Amino acid sequence: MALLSVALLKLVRRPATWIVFAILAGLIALVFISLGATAGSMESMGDELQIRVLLDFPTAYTIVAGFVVGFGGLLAVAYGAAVIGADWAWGTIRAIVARGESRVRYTLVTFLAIALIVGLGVTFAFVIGIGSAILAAEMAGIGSSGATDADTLASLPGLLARTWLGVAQAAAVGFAIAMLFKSQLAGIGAGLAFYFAEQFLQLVPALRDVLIYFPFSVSSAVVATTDAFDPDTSFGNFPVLDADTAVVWSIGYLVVALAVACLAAWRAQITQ
Amino acid sequence: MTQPLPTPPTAMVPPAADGFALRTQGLVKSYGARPALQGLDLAVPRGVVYGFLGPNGAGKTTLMRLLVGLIKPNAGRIEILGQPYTWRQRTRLHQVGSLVESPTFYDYLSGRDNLRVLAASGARVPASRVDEVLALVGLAERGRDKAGRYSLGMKQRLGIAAALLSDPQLLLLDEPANGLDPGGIVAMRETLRHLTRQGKTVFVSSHILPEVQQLADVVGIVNGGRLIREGRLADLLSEGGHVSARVAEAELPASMAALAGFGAPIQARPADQPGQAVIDVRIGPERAAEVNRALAAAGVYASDISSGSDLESVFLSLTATAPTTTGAPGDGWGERA
Repeated sequence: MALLSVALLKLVRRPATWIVFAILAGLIALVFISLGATAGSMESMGDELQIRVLLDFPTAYTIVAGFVVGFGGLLAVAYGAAVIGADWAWGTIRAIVARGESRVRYTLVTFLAIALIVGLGVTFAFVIGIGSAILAAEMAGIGSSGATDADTLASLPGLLARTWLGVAQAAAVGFAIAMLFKSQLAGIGAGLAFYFAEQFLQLVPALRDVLIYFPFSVSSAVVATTDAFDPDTSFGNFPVLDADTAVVWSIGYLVVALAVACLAAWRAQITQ
Repeated sequence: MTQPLPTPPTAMVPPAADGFALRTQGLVKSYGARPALQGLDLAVPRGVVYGFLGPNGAGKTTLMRLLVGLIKPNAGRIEILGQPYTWRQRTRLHQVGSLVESPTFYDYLSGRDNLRVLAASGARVPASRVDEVLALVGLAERGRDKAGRYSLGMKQRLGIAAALLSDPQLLLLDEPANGLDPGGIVAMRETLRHLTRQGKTVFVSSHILPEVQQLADVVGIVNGGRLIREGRLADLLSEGGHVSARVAEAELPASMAALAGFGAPIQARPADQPGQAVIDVRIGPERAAEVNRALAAAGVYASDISSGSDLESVFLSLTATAPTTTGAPGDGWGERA
């Protein structure tokens, strides 16, 4: 517990944590306010309808979760890599290991702290996103009466938990890459490159059926339960895993990423 | 690796009554094709300050990394506080405090919080210990300041505080005087002396020879990844020494020829005054008169003769890294094996 407590202390006191929170919440608020402001002024009826679907509660809850996983996953890759990469870049891991601390325990506890902070950030962004979506729905004249739907409200903790899992899994991938490279910069760079490569490869139709099993597609799919678009589990024109399958894959990726990170830490020759 | 190590053949230090705090035998470590340690045999008695000396690239930092489990040796054995140690036996390090290379901290945390972070890892440390060690290194007043605002010397003191956190039996310090002001160096020296009086052992890796000379009881000199000398400082100093003679530059060849008969390493360097040179002969200071006589016999009259015995002379004669004869900028940095 002492190790977890100081791992959390390090993250809470770290300015990057709050900057990431602010960026995530700001982006999501910006998206929804923009949608609310532009609704009603679209030239195409189809575009107008799409915006109205995005802001229509209770579906908007899932849309908010999707944005949190999307933007949050991107930021989480960099954050996970930055946190453990900093221990290598700054040489602080040296002092920890030299005190006789278990490398594997340190790795796992550090990630657990990251996951808890990610949970806090996801909740914060989710609340900001819902507030922004309600505001946008009112601006667009759609109204937000659906936001208080009892069944939907009861399912929100589950949706939030899946959102957390998706973002934590993305953080785990960045974390593992940084641990493998023993570098903050390489971890962030490689993690983001991996993230964007996966997004761009979606443009190749032949790869889409395979890409749904890739880490960042999986992390996005954990909340892709909306039927706002195509009912046969596709999100727009892109196929996605159904949410329950995605959760299993996401947990699998998280476990594998942590195993890789632990193995890398266990074997590492610390010369930084 | 359950058998205790035999006494290293190069060890010149008799073991203390309760044995050695640290021993290595045949320790080998390479970084790729580049060897860093080539069979290092070391014996550090308990309750002393051990000065571990060597030129740049001699293997000092590599040894420190091996001793605290940061890297894995290619071959050889390590014994810490009488027990065999491999890099997987991390709990053995709970009795060891260390400052390896430069101290590293989270700049955005206070000095106190940085110590709390370290105190939560490895050996369990009572919360009160953090404030104790901060006071011990004179940082009690600045403990709540962010470590990023600390000067180099303050970071060094914080590093020493971190090494002392678990009240270790063996303290491994890499260049502990680095960045400390004169007052800080004296305080550190007193602290380390105090620890040895409590029966603890302090292993100091350094190339600041005057500092080690004031601090160490026992000295080990490493070069090219091998221990080339180990012994009590007093013994080493009694064996080492130099006699220096200042002569006219024009008389340098004759002087060198006259002194060659001593059969000791001789080096020449420019003197402060133009047209003058200083010849250093690596012989005991009691032979200064002989040097004077030899020069006079060759028709050379020295304008100054000085002699002394210090660790620097011993170190330079053993590692052959003396300054060059030209005194040109940049000279003297290379090793002369």
